[in-house]
Amino acid sequence: MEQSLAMGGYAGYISVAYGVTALVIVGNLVAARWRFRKTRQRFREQLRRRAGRAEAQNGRATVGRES
Amino acid sequence: MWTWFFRLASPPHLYALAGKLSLWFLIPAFGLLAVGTWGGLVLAPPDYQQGDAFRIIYVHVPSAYLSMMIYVTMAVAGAIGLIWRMKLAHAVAASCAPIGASFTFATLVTGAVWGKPMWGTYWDWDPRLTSELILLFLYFGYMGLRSAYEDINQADRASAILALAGVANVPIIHFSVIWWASLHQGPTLSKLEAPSISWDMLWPLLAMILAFTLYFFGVLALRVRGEVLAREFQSRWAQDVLRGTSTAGGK
Repeated sequence: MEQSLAMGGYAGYISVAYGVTALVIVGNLVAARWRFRKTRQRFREQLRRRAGRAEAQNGRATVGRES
Repeated sequence: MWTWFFRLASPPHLYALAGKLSLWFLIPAFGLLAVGTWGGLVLAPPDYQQGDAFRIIYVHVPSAYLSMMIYVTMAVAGAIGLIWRMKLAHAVAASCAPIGASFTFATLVTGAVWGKPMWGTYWDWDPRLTSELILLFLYFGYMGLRSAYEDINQADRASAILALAGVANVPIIHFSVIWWASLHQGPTLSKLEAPSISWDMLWPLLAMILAFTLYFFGVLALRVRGEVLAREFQSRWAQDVLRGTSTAGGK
């Protein structure tokens, strides 16, 4: 068992190679999802702010007409 | 015949399609990754010359193949964007760059840790290694150029031209081991005659190459969604998606 885990003395090199590749694979997936969610959240907030401003302007216009 | 191609130019269609495709690519990709890794690390016999160190092939070769394939995809998307003025093709090209850069980095690192026990050095200014390093710089240049422009249309055009100019490096990487004397071993899989690797060692490699390809398309689909949404934010359909009132793959 120990011998097969040592991989003929190359276990260090093999684990670095597989580790870096695993990091790249997981990292790309996490980064892609994070970027998508961040973009969606940023634009949702912009939409909310726009809607808030539009509501405030409508409110002022209504008050102006009533007075 | 070209209807499917021109439908891809429709942002809501591409956004919805990318949302559906990402999982369809990623689930089999991770299944194949597990099978290929098990096959490569456990089932494949050690090489008669390189011993167990050859097992690095199962991550090095798919990463190297992907680094070049992604660059070609990026250049083709850039060309489509330039020729047909299809803005979404530029979105695809822009989404390719970080994925390609990361796999080029993985290729260089896995190659270096394979080179140390086999060649006695992590790095050599060998044609294959040097041209792969140039590929990494091309990806960095592409991303740097994109971020240097404030106007997205200018960024799209300039980066597409750079991608097209840099695509000449891809055949240089591939044929460098044939054209010049190289430390790097010659082609194993892409020879016209039968591959010079036994089936026991070959099948995990093919599984890993297929897994990496599916994975790339899955992650690309995820990135393209974000890119399309950012570019189309002002349009009605994108705002409907953001409000959750759209049917265009809105979540």
